[in-house]
Amino acid sequence: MSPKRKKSTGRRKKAVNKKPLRRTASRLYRLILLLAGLMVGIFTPWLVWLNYVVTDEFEGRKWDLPSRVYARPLSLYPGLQISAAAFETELRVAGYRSKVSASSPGTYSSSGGTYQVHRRSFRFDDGVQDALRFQVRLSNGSISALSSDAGALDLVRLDPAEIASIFPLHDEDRTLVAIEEVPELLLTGLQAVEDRNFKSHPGIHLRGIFRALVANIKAGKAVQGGSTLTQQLVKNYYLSNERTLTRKVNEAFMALLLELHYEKAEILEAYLNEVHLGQQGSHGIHGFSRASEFYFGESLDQLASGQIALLVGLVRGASWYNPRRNPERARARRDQVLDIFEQAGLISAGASKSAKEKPLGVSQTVHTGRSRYPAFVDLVRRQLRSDYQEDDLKNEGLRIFTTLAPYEQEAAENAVVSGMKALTDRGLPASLQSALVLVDVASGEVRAVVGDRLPGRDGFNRALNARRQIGSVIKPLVYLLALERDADYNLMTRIRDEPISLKQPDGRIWSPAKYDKISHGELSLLEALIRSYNQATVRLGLNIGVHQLIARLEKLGIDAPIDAVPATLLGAVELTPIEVAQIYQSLAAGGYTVRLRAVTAVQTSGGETLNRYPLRLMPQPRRDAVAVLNYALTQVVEKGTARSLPGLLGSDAIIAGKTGTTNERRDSWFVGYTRDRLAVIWVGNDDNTPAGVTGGNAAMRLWAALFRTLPLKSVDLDMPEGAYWTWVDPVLNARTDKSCKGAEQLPFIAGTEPRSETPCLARLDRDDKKSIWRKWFGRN
Amino acid sequence: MDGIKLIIAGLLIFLLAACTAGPPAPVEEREVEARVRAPARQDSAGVQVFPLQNPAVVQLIEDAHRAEHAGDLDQAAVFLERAMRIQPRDPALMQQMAEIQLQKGEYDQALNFAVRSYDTGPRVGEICARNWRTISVAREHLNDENGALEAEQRAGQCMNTRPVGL
Repeated sequence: MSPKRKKSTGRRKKAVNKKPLRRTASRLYRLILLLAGLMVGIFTPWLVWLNYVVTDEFEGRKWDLPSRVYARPLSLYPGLQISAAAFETELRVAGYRSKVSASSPGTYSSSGGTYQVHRRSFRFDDGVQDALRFQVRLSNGSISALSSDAGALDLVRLDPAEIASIFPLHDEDRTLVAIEEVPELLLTGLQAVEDRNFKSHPGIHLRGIFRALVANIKAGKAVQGGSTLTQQLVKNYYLSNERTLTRKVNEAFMALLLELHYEKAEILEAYLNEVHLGQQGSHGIHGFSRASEFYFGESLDQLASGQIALLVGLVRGASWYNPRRNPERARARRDQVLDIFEQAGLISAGASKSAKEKPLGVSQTVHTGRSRYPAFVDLVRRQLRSDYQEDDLKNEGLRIFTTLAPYEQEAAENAVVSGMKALTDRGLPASLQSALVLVDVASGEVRAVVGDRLPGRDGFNRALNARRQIGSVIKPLVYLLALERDADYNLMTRIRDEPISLKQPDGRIWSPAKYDKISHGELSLLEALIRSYNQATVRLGLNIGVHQLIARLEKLGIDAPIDAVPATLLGAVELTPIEVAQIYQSLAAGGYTVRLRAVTAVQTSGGETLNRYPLRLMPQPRRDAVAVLNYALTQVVEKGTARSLPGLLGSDAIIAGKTGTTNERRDSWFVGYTRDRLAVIWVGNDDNTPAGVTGGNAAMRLWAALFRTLPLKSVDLDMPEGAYWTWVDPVLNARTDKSCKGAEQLPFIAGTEPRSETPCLARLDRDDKKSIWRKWFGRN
Repeated sequence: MDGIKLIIAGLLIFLLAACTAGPPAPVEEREVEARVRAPARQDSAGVQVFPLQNPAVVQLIEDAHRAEHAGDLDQAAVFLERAMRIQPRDPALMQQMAEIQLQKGEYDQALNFAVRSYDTGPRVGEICARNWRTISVAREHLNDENGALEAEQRAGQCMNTRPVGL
């Protein structure tokens, strides 16, 4: 600017010597120069500023990519146990549409147990996998054949379901769409209705503004907007909605600048993802893709022309034409838009007519879309929090590969919903809440999480955050510590279930409650555990030491502070369901502890792998004791506190489990595992008031409801090195022959088996005896 | 002048060459082959255990082998993890994972997977020998000389003893 000013002062010096007659002209000339200088001096920085604002805003929006969260991909292979219902759930959640023939990627057809699936191409963390048409036959709950046109297949991996987007902007909800994925009718129709000259104008369209002005004056009200799509996009970048002249002028210049910098396609794509098309509570619904989910529950490419017309019509006023609240008004607007489509030659007269005859097609249930499985996504965020900033998750467009199994998640949600309803029907309070964690035993991969009796509700996540006393669920650890002291204990060791009073550090006397008001005298370690006797457990625990128990909990990854008091032995310890799952994973996997994982890999939006979370084993030193304990926990289900479980399940598979009830029936816990799956379920009141629940009457029923729909594989009772099975007479506490009457087969840590051997007093026809050994081998 | 340019160019090429890693060593020349697989194969001539494997798992194992030969050990581990999701207790899979971990220099994980393979496996034959040889090599790298020696001896017993309890 300064050179210009110098110029004008130079001229003034010259002007001093001019004649008075020419003074007026000279003054005018100087005034013009001054104004020009001011214009350049102010206008240029203003333009520079506008340019900065608009490009910064555009770039910011352009690169604010949500992180996409994917479920685990479903691997299909002959022999895989999966029901037709489960398979269809997987396809549905992954966005596959049922068609007459699976002609394009993302569709499938089915007839009589045979499915034709057209898989989409997908970039995994181990490379790009091409689209593929294949055929899968299901019979008797498993895959009996798998093939493509080229022949039989051993393994097919489906592309994973996208279960959530972690999005950057507060109170805004959107699903981004690339312009290539947008239906042609939406692209052309939007321009026909909102901005016919979009292809040719430089950002603003003067004739359009003029025409709108005339039309509005004629009609006496605002019937046409003169804004181009570019101007509308710029307007959307402002948070406030004030209408001033300065604002209008600013918008016009910004529109021009935007057009200077970017291609039409880029601007149109930004518009398609930006425009405000509705409101859900405090969340604005932005972009056509999200609006399509919100109003129709379908993705954009599935919409009929009438539905596209409705969305295009909403641009004019999402609240005024709200099809849920003002269906008549919305219908009129849709028909108007269909007329414009027809006039512009985008659809035929016939198509327009038939589209007008159809209802609006708006779904009554609102699709939240934020995330399908909020409790699980919460766990994903928690796992990633240590490696990523929340901001990175929100706007770097990361691709997050998780361990969620859609059909297991849906089964878990159904089990909680139906199970809780059944509890209410049986007279338990309707205020009861519940949480569930389902884990793959060997890998520690979390397959499902439910944090509320209404699983879709994105609120307090009890599975991760509800700290509740765990009651008898802690007892197996007490018995594990005992078994590890193998010089003193085996499953047959006699302990006493008799009253015990202890002086607390504060001087008060504490004695454990007898759940059934009886002392059971002397019994074996195995019996005391499977019947969950309190007095026997406290006696045993005191011999071992409460500190030992606390140390073990810490070693298993529990960092909550725990009091070193005898009540801890009976589970006066507050843990969350996911922490309980972590403890039991270690037991269920035979002592091969792994940290529970919800995420397996994270990629950049470009497909470069940033992090992998591989399987890492942390073996416990005493896996022999864990294996012996596992057997004992199968006996809880066979003949202990969970003995009604097989009946509820309708299965005689070998299952291990433990019930838990806390004082005054405030909490109901059940932890149970098969060979492959571990589920922890909690039921209780949020305010920790007595709820009338026990482990057996509430949580175990939910567990059964879940596993009735999942494959059940018997717990593996092979002993690791250092432990083995042998025949004993539990009454005489001696080894015996398997054909002797009263003989039972029990696992022992080598060296802890009874020393003495008893001769057979009577033989028994073993076929009459129901032994777990028989049941175990019966399956082979 | 030209001479200096040549020297600089040569130096640059040399420096760049140092940046790019060479091709991975052929598997035959790696420690895992020399100290685990080859001796186990040799010992077990005649004592072989072939567990039945799911064709899907076989395919993933082959993928893992290819990745291992190409030197992409992370990728090999990913394939094996996928296979383990199908057959979580397959001792052959766990042993292969142990050998991948050994090559990655993750000795504690190599040890853990080999131990788990032994626990769930036949505890006899070639796989048993590979279990204990892996354990031995891993312990050696973890500076557990006695443990390594003991494991070496256990590897030798894989061909003649069947442990109690089986």
